[in-house]
Amino acid sequence: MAYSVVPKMRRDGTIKLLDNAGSNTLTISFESGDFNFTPSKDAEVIIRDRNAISNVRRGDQEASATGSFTVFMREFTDSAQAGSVLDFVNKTGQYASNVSTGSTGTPRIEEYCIDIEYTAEGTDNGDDADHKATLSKCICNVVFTEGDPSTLAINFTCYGGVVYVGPT
Amino acid sequence: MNLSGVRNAIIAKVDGMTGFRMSPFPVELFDRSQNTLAHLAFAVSISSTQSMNERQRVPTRVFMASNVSLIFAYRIRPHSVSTDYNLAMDQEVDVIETVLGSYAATPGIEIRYDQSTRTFAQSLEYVLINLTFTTIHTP
Repeated sequence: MAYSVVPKMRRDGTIKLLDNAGSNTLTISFESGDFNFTPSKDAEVIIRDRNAISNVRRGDQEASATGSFTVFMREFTDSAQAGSVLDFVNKTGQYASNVSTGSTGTPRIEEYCIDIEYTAEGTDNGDDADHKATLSKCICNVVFTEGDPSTLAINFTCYGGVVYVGPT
Repeated sequence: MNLSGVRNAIIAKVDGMTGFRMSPFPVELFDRSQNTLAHLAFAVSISSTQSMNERQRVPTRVFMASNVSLIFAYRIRPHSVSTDYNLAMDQEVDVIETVLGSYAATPGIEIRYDQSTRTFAQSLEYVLINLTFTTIHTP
C-alpha cells in the first residue's frame, strides 16, 4: 500500500510501560498527550585545521534518547490495585515485583529501568500497520506539579536504543 | 461522571440544605419563579462544557470541564434590607461550602468555585445570588 497519507495526532497515541520481557505492563490513561523523545547520536569530535573544520569524528556513545510525558495524578501509590505510573517507574506498590529491563544484556544498568512503547494508531486510519517506537532501558524520574488537574511528568533517559516498527 | 450526573450531584447537595428547594425554572429563566415560592428556591444549569488539554482516547477516559451556574433567591424584608442582604450573603457562603463538600457517594467529579454575582429583583423583594463553579469530570 502507498505511504500513509494520514498525519497522526494525539488521539492516535498510546503509551505502554513494560518491565523485563513485558511480563508486567501498564497502558497509560488520564494523560495530556504530550509524549516526546529525542533520539541522540554519538558525540561529535570536531577537528580543526587551524580554524577550519577538517574532520568530524564520532566520539563517545551517548544515551540513546531522552524524553518525557505527562499523566494526571490520581494516586501516588497503591499496593492493592494496578494503575499507578509512579509505582511502575519506581518499582513500588503493586509493581514492587517488576523486573528491571536493564539487569541483562548490554548496557547493563544498575538502576531500575523499564521499556517504553509508543504506538501511533495506523490500521484504524487505513494504514497497513500501526506505527511503533520502543525505547528500551529507560530510567525514569518523576516531577509532581499541583494544578487543576495535578500532574506527574515522567522524564526518562533511554540507554537501550530506540526501535521503530511500521508497515513492511 | 456524565453531565446529568454532575448536575444531579450538585442539586442533591443544595436540596439537602435547610429550606432550599429546586425551582421548576432553569437558571436562565429563574426570575419567573413565583414570589410565594421564591425564598431559597434554587436552580442549577450546566451552561457550557469545554475539552481539557488531554489525549482524548475514548477507550481509556476523556476529561472535560463544565461551567456550572447555580442561582438562588433570598427574600429581603422591606424594613430589614441591610440585615437580610447580609443574611443572604451568609447563606451564599453556606451554599459554596456545601457544593465544595465531599462527593464520596458520587465519585468522578472535581469542583472549584469561580465567582458570585448578586442582583436585586426590580421589586426589591429578593436578592438573586448567582454562583458559578467549574467541574472536571468524564462524559
